[in-house]
Amino acid sequence: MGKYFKFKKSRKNDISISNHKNTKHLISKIKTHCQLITNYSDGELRQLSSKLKAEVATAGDSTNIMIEAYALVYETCIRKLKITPYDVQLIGAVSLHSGKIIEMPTGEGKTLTAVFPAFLNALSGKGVHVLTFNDYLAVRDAKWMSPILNFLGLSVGYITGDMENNKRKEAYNCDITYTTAKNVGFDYLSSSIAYCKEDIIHRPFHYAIVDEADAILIDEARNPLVLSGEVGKSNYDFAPIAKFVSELEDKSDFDTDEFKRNVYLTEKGINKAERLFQVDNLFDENSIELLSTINLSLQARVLLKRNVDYIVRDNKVLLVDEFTGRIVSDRKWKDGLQLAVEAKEKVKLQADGKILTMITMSHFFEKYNKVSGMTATASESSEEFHTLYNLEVVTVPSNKTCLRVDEPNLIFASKSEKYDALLNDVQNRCKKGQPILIGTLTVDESEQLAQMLRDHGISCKILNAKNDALEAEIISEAGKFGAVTISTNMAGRGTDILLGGKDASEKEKVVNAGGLYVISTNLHESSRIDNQLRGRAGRQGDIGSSQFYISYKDDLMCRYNLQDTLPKKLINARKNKIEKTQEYFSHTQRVIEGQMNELSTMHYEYSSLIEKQRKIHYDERQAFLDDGAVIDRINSVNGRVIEDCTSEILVKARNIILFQFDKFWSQHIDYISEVKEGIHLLRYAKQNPLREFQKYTDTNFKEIANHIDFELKEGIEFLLKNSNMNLEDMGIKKPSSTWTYIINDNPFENKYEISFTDSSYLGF
Amino acid sequence: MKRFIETLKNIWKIEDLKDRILNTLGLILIYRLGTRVVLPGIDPSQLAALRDQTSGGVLGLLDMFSGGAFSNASIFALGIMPYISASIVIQLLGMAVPYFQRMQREGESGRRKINQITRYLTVAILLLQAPSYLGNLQAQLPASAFALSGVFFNISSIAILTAGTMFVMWLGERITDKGIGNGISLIIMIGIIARLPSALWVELISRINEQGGGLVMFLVEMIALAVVVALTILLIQGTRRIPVQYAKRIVGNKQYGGVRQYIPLKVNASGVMPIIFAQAIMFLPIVLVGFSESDAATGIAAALADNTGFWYNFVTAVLIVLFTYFYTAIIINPNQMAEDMKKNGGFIPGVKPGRKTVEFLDTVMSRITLPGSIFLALVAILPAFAMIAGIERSFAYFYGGTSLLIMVGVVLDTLQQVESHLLMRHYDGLMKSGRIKGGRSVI
Repeated sequence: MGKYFKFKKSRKNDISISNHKNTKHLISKIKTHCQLITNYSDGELRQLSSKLKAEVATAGDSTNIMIEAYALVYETCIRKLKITPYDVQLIGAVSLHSGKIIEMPTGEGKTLTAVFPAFLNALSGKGVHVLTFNDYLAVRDAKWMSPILNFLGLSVGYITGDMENNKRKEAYNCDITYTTAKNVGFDYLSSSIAYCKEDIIHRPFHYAIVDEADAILIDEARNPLVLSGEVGKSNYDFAPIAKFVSELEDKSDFDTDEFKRNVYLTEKGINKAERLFQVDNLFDENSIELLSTINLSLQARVLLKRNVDYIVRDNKVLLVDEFTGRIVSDRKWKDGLQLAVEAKEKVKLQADGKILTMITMSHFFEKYNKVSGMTATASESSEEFHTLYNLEVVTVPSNKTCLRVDEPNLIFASKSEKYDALLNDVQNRCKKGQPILIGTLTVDESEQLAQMLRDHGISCKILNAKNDALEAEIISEAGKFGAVTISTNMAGRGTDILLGGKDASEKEKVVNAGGLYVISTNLHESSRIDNQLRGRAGRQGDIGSSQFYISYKDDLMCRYNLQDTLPKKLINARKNKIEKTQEYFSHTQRVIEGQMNELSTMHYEYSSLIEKQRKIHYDERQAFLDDGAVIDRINSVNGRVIEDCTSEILVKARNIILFQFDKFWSQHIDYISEVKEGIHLLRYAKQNPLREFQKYTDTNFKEIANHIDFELKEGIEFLLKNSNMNLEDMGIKKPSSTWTYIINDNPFENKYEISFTDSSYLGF
Repeated sequence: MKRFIETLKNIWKIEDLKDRILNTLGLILIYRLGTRVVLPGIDPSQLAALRDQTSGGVLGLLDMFSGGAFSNASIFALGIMPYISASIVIQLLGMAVPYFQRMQREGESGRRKINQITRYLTVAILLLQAPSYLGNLQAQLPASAFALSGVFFNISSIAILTAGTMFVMWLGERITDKGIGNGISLIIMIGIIARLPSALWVELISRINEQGGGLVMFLVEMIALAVVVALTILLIQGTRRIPVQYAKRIVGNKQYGGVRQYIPLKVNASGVMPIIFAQAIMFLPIVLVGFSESDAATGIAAALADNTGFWYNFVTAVLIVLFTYFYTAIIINPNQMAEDMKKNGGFIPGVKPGRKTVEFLDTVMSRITLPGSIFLALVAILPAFAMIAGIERSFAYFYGGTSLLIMVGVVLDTLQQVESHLLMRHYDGLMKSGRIKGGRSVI
């Protein structure tokens, strides 16, 4: 096995080396071209830009003019930003244009790298989206890069989550738009239920450059973006049930499975519920609503923990992202779990909505003609990039050699031993004045560890989802001499810690102390997250080091029940630094990553037919935004050409048509999620669940087509007879309010279920 | 028929599907050629004794599974069976040994590991089987059939036989990967089906040569075959659907009848395995009798060895019923089903989760297994009836038993896969043309 991995690694490097030979050739060409235009006046440069634009317009392809275009951006960058791009940035820029994921170390200027392909691909006028990690970065990058792009005659816009639609539309019409992936995704969804053409705010998707590509394309790949609409009906009352559940006793009234991923009532608990809510049989079809609410409330009570999975702030339940440690305000748990948690925390229950339409990130990116991405941690997931998106990963060499020392992991038998050693280490380093960043897994852990440090007389700052307002301040001071900062994953991706803080004169003192020292108290599910945390130290050729403290009792091992995979004798040893133990931990991570990859692939397989259906449905629906299509439809129902088609009838007919399309699509989504629930049961008859799922989905989709056909005919016939009918009275209206959110991947989804396959399945 | 041709045309039009089918055919061709390549050092013209030996019984079964390679003394003589045996062993281990249970949970990497172990086990089985196969060859064939002999011949042949089976396995995996259907089962099925044309021919000739009404009899036989095939499809697809409800919250008004989730409990959950087990056991009396001198023992053995006799078929049928219960109990585990449902929030309407659900499933399972097992036993002994009715032995095998079950099972499975490909392609077409019937410009 070991050999296999080594072989793979070396091969991968070979690819990037041979690639570099090609790109090197291109880079030198670009640079020669730069010398040609370095004496051009500003006006001449602008002329060159419009000449290139014209060339793209006639040739239809921008690859031929890459060298000229990149040289132009290079020169403009020197003039406007007074920055000379590094060669590695050009290498990255070249790879980006060919639709690849580039791996660039932290702090090497990805923003500037992206400007090159953004300019080149925007010359066609079809619009380029640079998708940043958050709204703040979108605004920052747009403002920072617009001098270059504006100078060259291209317009730049940015979109943040809270912007008005007309502003968004304006930004989408710019040549280059800086925003986040979910902003665009949500806009795509809301356009898909638009009732008139003006409500479609985006243009067709052309080219996207995704920053932090692994976080967006892989970690978020399974989380669907959702558009919900209000339903008039009131919610099922969660409060009494939440109260009932909070009074149940662990182990006797309810029980969890060994991995703490599921919780269910025991017989005693069932009896209690039946008595209290006065039902004969809780598992009767008539008490489904009650049962499901009890189940959700149980899950909310037992499986989701405050200050780990979510925090409560301003009378609201806010989810904490497990990968970034940040609050994700537009994310929710699905199917009423959100309401159950809100009832548990006794905060105001948010409006319950019906899902109107949804799309997963991975399918959303298929809308683009071309996608490329950048991140500091891509090579670990090159397999996923390939299987899910058919994207190739290219490693760009770093500009300055990384001086960071990554110490081998320290492994302990128990958590307390781990923390003891960690405290000791921190105390020693503190004496030297070396700044320390400690990465923890949860809000709770960060607070507990801070308490421990304070008990030992070490002052420290905490950065977690609860005090995210202070983020900028805490980070700006984290590199100071003698600073100790405890953080969740928030201090991972994208955080820039300057040695010595804002004061550059302090830097040398910190460098002498050994630079930033990064400690992690846990391994993460993905080695990419580990590496992101490590990457906070030793950026741009700085000195620094990193150290992971792990134990056999860590959540990672318990959550996947992987302690058992460790040989007994290793566990019993008090303290191990043996290479073999390391190998077990890496193996564990690989196992988890493998499972995640498998899960993503499975999700993709299940959703790809629905995605095709969605496209068919969407295209057909959007066609009716044209008057012509609506009139044709009226005529076809009427049986002859209708002469006096007033605009009122036209609008009403269109509303009827669009309403029916949306209604049935929403129902289709309901249907699919119901089928999905139990489709795996077919494995008991050795049937292929995916195949059967597709059959169900197909049948329902065809049925929907018939229903729509029928309803349109009825609706329009009725309209023609009663031209002054009130649509709202007929229940035909746009949802009064809609909102968007991301469904959080079910935190306790049975991830093992998918491996429940019979290896000797032979079909007979 | 017109629809059938239309479907074929569609398949041919879809580039991907066409490639897959061509790949499958190509790989199967390689396999079929291999079953004709005789082991180096053996005279292909002197294999008659081997063919006689494998015309029935367990060796006949082995010959069938290896697609005739066994009786050809081919490099693929051991066929795919060692791999299937290894898989079954691992499957059983997976139910009992914690190490394997954990492996099954580890997802992709665990599955890879299990596959790896299965292959090693296959090689181990091969290394045991190959010498016995060679021993049998040396016992059956005249000394003149061997151009080579001694240690070198034995070692090279063992290596070739082992490599041969591993190669067939690889072919099977290639088919699964790049072709269509499950490669391993296709390879077994092809081996069986390869005998059909010649068997049919022999039958036809023998009927034609018969006095009076031979051809009519042949037609009757064909109709009978069609009926048997239909019944077998029924047996394979027969399922009892246990409704399952999921405690899922419904937002807003439900528009039309929801989805019915169910656990499909197969009437014949154990597939062909009980027949194979039973036939293997029926081989024992003949072996045992070799150790005994008594007339009574020989008599019993003879009665139990007569394929068309009452006792042979009666005992086989009883064994099949028993083994069906046994094997079904191993692969269908109501405890696991109940656990699985509980974890996912599902339940059988009106039945409480846990013990009650297990009991419920258990009762249903034993109820449907009885008719299932009897039906399976009947299918297994049908060939004997066919022989009694005067059908040639080689053709009679297609009237039931393992060969028919495997053929029907694999064909059904492969067709479903083709269907699913067609479905996905159908949507690619729709994405261009649109779906709603009363389209835009109807007038």
